[in-house]
Amino acid sequence: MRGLLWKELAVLKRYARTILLLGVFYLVLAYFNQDTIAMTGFLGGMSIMLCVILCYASLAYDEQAKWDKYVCTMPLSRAKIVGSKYVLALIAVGVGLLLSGLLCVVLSALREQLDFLALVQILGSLAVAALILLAILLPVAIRFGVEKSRFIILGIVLIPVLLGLVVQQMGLTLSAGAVSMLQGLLWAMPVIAVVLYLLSFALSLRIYRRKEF
Amino acid sequence: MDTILEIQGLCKRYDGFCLDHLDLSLPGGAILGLIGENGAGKSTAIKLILNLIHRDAGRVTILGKDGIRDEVTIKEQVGVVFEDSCFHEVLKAGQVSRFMRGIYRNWDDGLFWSYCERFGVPRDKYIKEFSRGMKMKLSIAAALAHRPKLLLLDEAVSGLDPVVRNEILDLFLEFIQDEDHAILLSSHITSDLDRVADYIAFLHEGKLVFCESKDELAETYGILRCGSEAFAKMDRTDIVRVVRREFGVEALVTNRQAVRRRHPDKVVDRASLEDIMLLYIRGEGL
Repeated sequence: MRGLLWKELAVLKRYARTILLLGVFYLVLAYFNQDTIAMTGFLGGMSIMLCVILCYASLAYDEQAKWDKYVCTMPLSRAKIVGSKYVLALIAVGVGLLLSGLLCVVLSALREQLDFLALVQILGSLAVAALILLAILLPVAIRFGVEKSRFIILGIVLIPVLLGLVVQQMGLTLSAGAVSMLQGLLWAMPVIAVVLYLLSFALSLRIYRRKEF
Repeated sequence: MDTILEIQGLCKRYDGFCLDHLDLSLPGGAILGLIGENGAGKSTAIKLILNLIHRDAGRVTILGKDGIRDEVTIKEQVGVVFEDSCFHEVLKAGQVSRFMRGIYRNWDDGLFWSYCERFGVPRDKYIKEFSRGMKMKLSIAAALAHRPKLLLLDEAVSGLDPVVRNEILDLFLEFIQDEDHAILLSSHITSDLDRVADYIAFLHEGKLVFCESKDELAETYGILRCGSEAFAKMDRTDIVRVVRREFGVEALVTNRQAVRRRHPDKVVDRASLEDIMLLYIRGEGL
């Protein structure tokens, strides 16, 4: 596993530079956003998005190099090969959240508007969102390849958004019971996200074990 | 001499192709050349040995251990080189060495760099700037740097220029000086195998036609050339394939001396590996 993570770092090194440049661009945008809460959400959200792109790029690089065929000749179980992608994703999201968190603390402190609880809540929910997104993205990309999975993932993300819009247009309102149930679900989301991530790993492993190279 | 690789009844079925009950045995200190036309099943066989594809039947034993049950342990002892270099183009040789050290327990940085130096593989150039030959040399250095006992090469030298190919073939000959080492090398360029292989396994349409020592093949196989009419009247013993041409026939014989004795008036030449392959593929059976 250690060797595989070193390989990921080496492969993504140049790509990460481009991502960092984008990060600096978002930082400048965030700096001019006067609403501290919105700024935190924006910066955190963007860093999470960049990290997800980075994980996706790692899969694309592997596909381009026909790496899977080669790595499966090495003394590594398929669980370790798939696991390395999941660990990489966790590291990327962790680093992204840490960096954006630090920047948000600095920027908020400069404005003397530091609300630590709000910051943790925003970044925490973004981490949950990132885990759920990766839990969907990774098995789809492993099963269908990077090229095809782009469209599938777009579909997966668009369907709930469109459903939400339809519900909104129809002017449906939720009963008090439903709202409190949803709020309860919100607190359970971190646990749900972790469980989903683990289930996603199990599914990806199953897919990868059946794959032929 | 211990058996390094043993394949028994290996099968893989696809739509329109079937690798049919392949049996092979590779002793230590030897190079086994796997020949056959494109699509004959050479890559399928190598992929099955490595579990890159799932077998339908059969068994693979490497260094006395089961290929599936002891897969991870075995792969510490196996070096693999494919036709394409599978290293990412954004990497440099130094980075390859860095992460391979974390994958193979026996990875030897010194050995890796000594091969790189010998082959002139640059340390600080991106792989995307490498020529095809250089990429192959890097792959071979990487395949040897964890001190494997079995080397599997799938069309690894086929697309290289003669100078690079010779360098690499020399290295293979050095590798098998150790009796605990063996190489399985697939190629459709038979002259490479003529030079280095001890045994030749010929696959045709998914079936093993023969697996014999190269010397034995050179001694026994031959090409009989004669007119169509004379051929029609001949005793066909030891003749396995025939190609009919405008000015006569070319027949592949499996016992050159015996055919010569039976037909002293006919021309029976030695058959090269290429002749054998071509006659099997193009010729008709009797």
